[in-house]
Amino acid sequence: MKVLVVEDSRRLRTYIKAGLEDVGYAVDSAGDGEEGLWLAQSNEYDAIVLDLMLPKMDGIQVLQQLRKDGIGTHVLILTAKDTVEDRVVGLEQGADDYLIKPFALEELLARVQALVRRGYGVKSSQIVIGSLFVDTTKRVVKRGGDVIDLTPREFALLEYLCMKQGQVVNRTEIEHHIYDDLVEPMSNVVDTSVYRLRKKIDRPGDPSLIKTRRGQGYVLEEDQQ
Amino acid sequence: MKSIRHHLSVTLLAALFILFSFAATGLYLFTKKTLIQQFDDSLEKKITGLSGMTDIEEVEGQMRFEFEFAEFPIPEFQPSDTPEYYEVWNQDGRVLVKSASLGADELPRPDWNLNGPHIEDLTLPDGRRGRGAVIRNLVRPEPGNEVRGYDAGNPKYQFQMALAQSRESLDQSLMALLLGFSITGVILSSGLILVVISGVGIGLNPLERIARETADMDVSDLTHRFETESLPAELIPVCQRLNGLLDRVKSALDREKRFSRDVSHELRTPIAELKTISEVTLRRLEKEHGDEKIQECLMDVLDIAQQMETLVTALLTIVREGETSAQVSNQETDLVDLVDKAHRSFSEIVTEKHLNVSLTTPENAVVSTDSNIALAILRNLFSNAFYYTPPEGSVECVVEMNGRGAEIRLTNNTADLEPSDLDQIFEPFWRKDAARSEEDRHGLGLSLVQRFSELLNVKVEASLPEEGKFQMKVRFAGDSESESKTRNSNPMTDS
Repeated sequence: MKVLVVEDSRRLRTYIKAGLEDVGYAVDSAGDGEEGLWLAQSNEYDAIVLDLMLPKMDGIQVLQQLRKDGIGTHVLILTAKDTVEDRVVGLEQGADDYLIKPFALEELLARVQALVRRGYGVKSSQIVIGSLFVDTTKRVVKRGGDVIDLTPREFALLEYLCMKQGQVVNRTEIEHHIYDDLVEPMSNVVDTSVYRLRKKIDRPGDPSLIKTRRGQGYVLEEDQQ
Repeated sequence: MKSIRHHLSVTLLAALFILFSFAATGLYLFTKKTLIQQFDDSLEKKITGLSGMTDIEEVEGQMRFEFEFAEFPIPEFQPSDTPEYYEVWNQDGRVLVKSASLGADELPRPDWNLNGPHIEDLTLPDGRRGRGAVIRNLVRPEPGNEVRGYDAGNPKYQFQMALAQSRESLDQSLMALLLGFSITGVILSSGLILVVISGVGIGLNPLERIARETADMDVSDLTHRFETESLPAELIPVCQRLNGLLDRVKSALDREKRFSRDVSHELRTPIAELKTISEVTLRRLEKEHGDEKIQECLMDVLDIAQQMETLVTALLTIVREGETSAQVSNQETDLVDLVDKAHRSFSEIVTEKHLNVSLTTPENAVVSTDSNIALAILRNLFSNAFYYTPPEGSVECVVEMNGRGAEIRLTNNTADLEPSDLDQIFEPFWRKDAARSEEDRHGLGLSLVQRFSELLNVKVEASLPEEGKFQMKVRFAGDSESESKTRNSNPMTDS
């Protein structure tokens, strides 16, 4: 899942990015409103964490411009402004959630996760596909009751495929949603990741849950047998 | 209570009544004197005129006095219902002549030495009140009629005459005058009372308006200003000065709040940075089984950030006005449940300090209030009580319902609080310990309690009911009676 963090505090931006990356998100970040808007317009994000008081262009203006451009990415406003009026203004301008500084990292992660799920129309954080169990909040994956240890990036790939459950996802989409803008995906990086993921979640002798649609991409679905 | 209106009305009325009474009495006495003078002048003219109508003749060698007025009947001196009287004496007191109206009666004989017309009150022979004039005069022979041996200086040629007439008409006039003055006085007095009361009222209206406006002012709202355009000149400086003071108070409070708010907001991002850095790094260290000492350090950093966050949140809650009141949502709330919930969250410190905690509550104490804010009040109070009570000390909580609502009294042992501390106890950051060495206390708990109590319109009082005891009272206005059955319990042993 790919998230954009727009925050002018360098330290906070760095560590929010690190916190999100640690749980498997691909994160782009910007230190001012203009850069944030440009990134949001140029890329497809699953969620945007947006500070309100930003240099060059404040968060509300960024939000207004995004909605004006028809970009419906879910936005979590992160700000020190905590009055009812501030919150109402933010939500009225099209924000989807509001988190006041200082915050607990766990809460930020949970809210971002909830926004990502909403983007794919998934309400629960627990996804079950056949014998595969994925908890996107606790970052736990089980197959037939056995816990599977995944790297953050592998988890991000599985999470994205789960969100798109039953839909064919092409390599470019995966690249966009799993890798941040600093990573130059190699041509076979997606295939390699899918291969590794299959090795971990599939059980020997059983058909793979991740099907390859030749020339189209991959689809995660329960075996129809 | 002293009232300017009352004082002014009474003083003015008393002064006006005294002035009016003096004026009326003076005018009455002057008029009375004038009327009597007129009456007396008339009497004097009459007696002077009558006494001049005399003659003396020598008849057969004897002097004979003739009084012309006696020779023909003058109607007023004839017997009637309201006659006048006269009587004439010589030096020896012999009656020379008297009016027919006297009959056998006589007028009191005046002292011979009374010379000029002398007038005084007397009782007439018919019993009426009268006024009499006395004159001593000389009998004179008619011009051209020589009387031998006549000597004007000899008292034997003199006579004394008394003339008396009823003073009924004078008394009636005086009575009418008195009556007139009395009626006018009553009417004028009533008018005066009305004029004074309404005049004072109208005059004091602006002052009363200012007093009403001041009394109606919401002490928490500093936006009110007194309108000075329609005020009388005397009150304009007062109101201008009051407006100026309100401006200064508001400006000082705004500045203080703005400062606290700005500081709080400015601190939020650094605190968020501290927390995020600590949390992200801790998560990484936990995952990678990193150095435990570094983890402990980061846990401390996180704790400090958490304390700062609590402090900033409390500060912002205290300085905010109006905003949080919109979030108050009253509902039927059982204070007994809240007390139970509030004190249980401190069971760890109670056990650690071996505190003796007792709760005395009714079965329920239902009031209409915002349960979340009320719980925050109680948590802060219990936190203070448990924290500051010395080890093995006691904390007693009593919840009572009465006709006016519910009262919660939380009493705990205190080692060092003095009566003078009570004035500052609700001040933000106030702490008895001047060294401020308690790391996890900020001195904001009771300020928050006060702020929350303002939101809920709840009364909170601090007192030292006896030596070594500190008590907080919280009064909720209630709308339902609780059951009277009371239970005593030790919550710590119950749990």
